[in-house]
Amino acid sequence: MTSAFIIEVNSQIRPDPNEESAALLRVLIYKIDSTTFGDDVPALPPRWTGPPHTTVQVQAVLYASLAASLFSAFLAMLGKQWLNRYMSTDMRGTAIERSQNRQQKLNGIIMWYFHYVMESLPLMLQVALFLLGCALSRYLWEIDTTIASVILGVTSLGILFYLLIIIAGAVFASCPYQTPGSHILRSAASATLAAGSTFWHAFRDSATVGVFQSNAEVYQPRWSRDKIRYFLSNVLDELPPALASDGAHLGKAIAQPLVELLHQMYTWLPGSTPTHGADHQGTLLDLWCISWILQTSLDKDHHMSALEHLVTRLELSNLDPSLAVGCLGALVSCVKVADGTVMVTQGLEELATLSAICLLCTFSHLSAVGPSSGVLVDVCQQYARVFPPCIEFSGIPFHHIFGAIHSALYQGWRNQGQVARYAGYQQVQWRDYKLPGWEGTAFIHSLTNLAQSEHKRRKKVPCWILHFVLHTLSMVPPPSTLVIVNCLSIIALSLDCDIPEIRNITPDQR
Amino acid sequence: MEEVLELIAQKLEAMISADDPGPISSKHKTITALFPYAVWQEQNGQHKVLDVCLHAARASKRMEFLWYHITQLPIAMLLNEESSASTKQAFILMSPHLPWGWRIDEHWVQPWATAASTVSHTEEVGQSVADVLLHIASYSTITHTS
Repeated sequence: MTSAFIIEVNSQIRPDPNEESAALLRVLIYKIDSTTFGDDVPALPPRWTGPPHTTVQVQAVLYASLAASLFSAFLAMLGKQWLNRYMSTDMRGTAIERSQNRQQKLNGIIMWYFHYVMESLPLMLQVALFLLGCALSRYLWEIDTTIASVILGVTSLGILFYLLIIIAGAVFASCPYQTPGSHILRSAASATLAAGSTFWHAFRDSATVGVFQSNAEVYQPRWSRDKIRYFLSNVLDELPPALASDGAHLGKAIAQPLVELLHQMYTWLPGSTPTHGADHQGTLLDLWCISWILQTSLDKDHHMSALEHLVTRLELSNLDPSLAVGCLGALVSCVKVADGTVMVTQGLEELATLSAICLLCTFSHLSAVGPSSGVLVDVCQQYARVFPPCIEFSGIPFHHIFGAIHSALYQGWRNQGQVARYAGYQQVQWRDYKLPGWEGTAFIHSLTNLAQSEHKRRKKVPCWILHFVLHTLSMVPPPSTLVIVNCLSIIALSLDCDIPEIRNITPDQR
Repeated sequence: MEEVLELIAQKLEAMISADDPGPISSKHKTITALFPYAVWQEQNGQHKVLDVCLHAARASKRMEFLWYHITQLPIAMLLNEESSASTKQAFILMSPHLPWGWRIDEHWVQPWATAASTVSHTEEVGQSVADVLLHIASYSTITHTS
């Protein structure tokens, strides 16, 4: 459609030979018979000095509109190609390898901001339409204002509608008319409000305002000429150091967000994060795959397979924090709470046990590597919503693991300063606990991580972990060397010893 | 493991040698958790950890030094007819520091007496036995049943 208008307008940006010929013919006829045109004396056509300024502007905008349309079409085709590549499945390799391949593609899509590129397609078409409307209105305004006002009206209505849906989308998160503009507007408004609030607080507490306030309080009760003089004199004396102090604070306040912004921009760049070896990348992909399956699939068999794989992968460095949330979700889906008692849904005992041990492993790992992580708070909050502190869990088959989770997560509440939530929670008892094979190793390793987390916070190792150590070291026959090492590490942490990093469990040791 | 054990022993020795008994008393639960392993080490001919545990128990001014769980789990499991002489000796040496009359009741007197009669006599063992007998005598419930 834009091309048709471009062709129409294009004729006006170069001299029209027909018009020039007609003018010359009129002059020729006049020379032959000067009475043909009456008083109207035909003149030679004026020399061509270039197209009218308005026409050039209109044509430029029309070309911009055409370019935007063509570029969006080009990008759409490329996008189709990219998506075909993404959708293609590798028919070779094991299920794990294929999952890793899929996860790698998904990670690439996130890392290279593929969704932003795809979202820019409709945006470019919208821009093209807007440019066409503007160009058309301007062009027709020169020809006829009545026709132009119709086009202007329709274009304005379209712009108004678009602005309204942007605002509606930004204000109401549930509004179905969400656009990239709504998201940007919401983020900008939120950032502006936060910055405004910070600025207001900084202004209110600034030394400069303090100088005026303190002096006003002294002289305000009865203003007189002398008092005003003293007021101004004091203010002038105190103002320079106050301004210098505020200037330093202001500079710091401006520089700090800028540095953070630059750092954030750097981290946005694809490939700015450090790369690891192939094995490590494989482990990371596995963990992402598991996290993705737990969050997207509702199939219990899928959960079971994913968790079975996770529990054998206790090398959890650079763990995706959402994995803990996924494990909690899997656990919650297998149990129900009635009359303050936890019960496992029939047939899901194995999945419940597996999800519990995985939750404990992931939570303890996150606690050890990042005790102040926001994900830990989320997990604690979600857990507390389902399982109140004084809950009975001794009847479930994996009550020791659950007890450890219960104690660890309510310990997490206490660490967040939520003493009221922490008070009176059900403690785990170890009397009849027996180490169940290598799962027991994973279990003790999780408890070591939790002890390490408390040690990092400069807090005592919780009693329930020391109970466990006492129980485990009292076993006849003694447990495996790895379990003993972990128990001794907990004791060392409890005695505030700086122990070397505790090695993770290798498959051989299992 | 040896490295961690060495760290634990060093830390405990440092706490024992300190003038203030507060830190060692505050770690009584930790030392109690270590005790079963110390006994096990003793059975394997390594005395260091048990010695450190015993020194820690002596250095503490609290009579209820050992955590009450020790009365329920490890000693009861370790003190039977098949227990080794070193286990029994460890128990005898530790026994003056147990909370007799509070958590250690008449059911403990018989295994204690059996253990005391079988271990080889040393000055330290004799002192521990005498101390425990005084404890037992001072608690009427234990004396009555015994």
